[in-house]
Amino acid sequence: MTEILKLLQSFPVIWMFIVASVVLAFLAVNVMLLIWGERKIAARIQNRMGPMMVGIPFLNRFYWTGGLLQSMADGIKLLMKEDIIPKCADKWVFISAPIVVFAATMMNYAVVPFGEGLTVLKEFNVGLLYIMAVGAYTTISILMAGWGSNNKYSLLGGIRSAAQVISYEIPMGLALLGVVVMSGTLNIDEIIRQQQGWKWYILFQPIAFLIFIISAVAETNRPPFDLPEAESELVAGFHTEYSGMRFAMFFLAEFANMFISAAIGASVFLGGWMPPHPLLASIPTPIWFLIKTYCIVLLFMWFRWTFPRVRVDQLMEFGWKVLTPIALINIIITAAALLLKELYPSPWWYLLTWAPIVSAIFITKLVNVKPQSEVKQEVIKKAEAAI
Amino acid sequence: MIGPVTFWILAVIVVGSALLVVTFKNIFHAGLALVVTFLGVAGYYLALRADFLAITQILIYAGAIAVLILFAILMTHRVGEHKETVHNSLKIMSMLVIAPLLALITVVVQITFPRTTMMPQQTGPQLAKIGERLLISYALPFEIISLILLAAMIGAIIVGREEGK
Repeated sequence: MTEILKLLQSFPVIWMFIVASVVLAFLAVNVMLLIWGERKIAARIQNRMGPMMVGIPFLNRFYWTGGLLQSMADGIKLLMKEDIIPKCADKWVFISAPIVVFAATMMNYAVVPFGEGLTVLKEFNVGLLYIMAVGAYTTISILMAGWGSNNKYSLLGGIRSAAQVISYEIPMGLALLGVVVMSGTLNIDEIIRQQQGWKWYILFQPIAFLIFIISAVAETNRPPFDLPEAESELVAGFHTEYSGMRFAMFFLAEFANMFISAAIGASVFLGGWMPPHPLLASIPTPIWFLIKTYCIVLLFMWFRWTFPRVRVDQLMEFGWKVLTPIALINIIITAAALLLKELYPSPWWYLLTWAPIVSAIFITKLVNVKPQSEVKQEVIKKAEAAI
Repeated sequence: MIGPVTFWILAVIVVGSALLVVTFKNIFHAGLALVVTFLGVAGYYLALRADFLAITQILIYAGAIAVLILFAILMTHRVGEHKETVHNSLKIMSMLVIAPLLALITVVVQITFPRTTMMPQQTGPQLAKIGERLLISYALPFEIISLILLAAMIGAIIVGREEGK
């Protein structure tokens, strides 16, 4: 077996195609499972059943194994739909937008560490930066989709979505930068190797983890940040005019993107494929990676049905005025903690990064902060009493 | 260093898309061709094993500058409109003027960078070295550049601000 692998590896072109096919197959199956999982979790939160009819016959009667083949049926349906291109649409831009979106999302899979030696680009020295750079192509493809549809609502949805993505790229980058400052490398495999045992970076950089999660939800246009593709707001935003397989590309790319954000979050903050305790090392590392990634994916899906949709100006304000300063403060505190650790060696300096969270909890408990609606009501009552 | 096949493929991509940028009539297509040009230049960086520079090129040029240009185009042009880009009709004259300029540039470049057989320098991780140079050897230019960026940002905010605020 290994001889066959080594023989294939000596022909780089063939090996490239094989690896790309394996990653694509994994992506496709994974996205189908994620779509099924999303519908089941949504159903559970909303106290209903979810897909139960289309699936493996014996398993359909149980809740958590019902409707497994629903996504495959949906995929076949989308394949068979009529391919509509709006008459005055910019044909080449319209056609290439889903292709670019999917290509950009799949490029992300090159640096995701699926297991111990199982990264496509092993030991890529600028792995984290590569993820951020490829996110730029998603932005461009959203703009292309918005423009190519020849539709005011698509254009507006495309611009809003692109603005949201680039606004939240900055806190995401700064949050990852906090981890980079602490680990000293942009190499994702190296960052995972540094997280032996219980030393996950979520313990050392809690604020960075929170900022990363929020930014990842905003980056992938998921609820509660999904105004650009919300049904009641902009029809369907930038993918209104797309039908059939082209829409399937956008849909696939959204879920693949969600998986990538969860995978990077799990690799950088939760320890990637490292088992939490050496005793559990007999479970193969890809399983650990998938467990941790799916935990974060579960978190994303939970967010979807818990929070109401954020209005676009609230969204931008939150990204620029709240998350970016907090991320910058986190970097400063991390750098200070590292410097103090150099001067006065002691492992306890790392707790300095918890300082903002602890102080925030303290302050909100000590200071009686009235919600703004109550303040407004008091002002109105005083004004009415004065009249 | 960089083999002839890689060089020529990337050269065709970069120069071809740069020509497309200036000749496309639809300005959105020109913006997209600009993105391809940036990709080609990033390809050159990768072929010369400057990995950090390649990724930064994509992140900043294609990810921020190109997106900014596309935003500006999207917000100021009507959808589906074929804008004819302004060009003059003196094509032959312009080529006669450009030819000596190209010859001059080629001669200057060949004198400044003579063709030698250079060995690739260090192929190890350069990120640490870039960091060292920026913060130790060239610390003053680094700080001045950040001041310039701050001034540019404040200027942009003041220019784009609404009246009366």
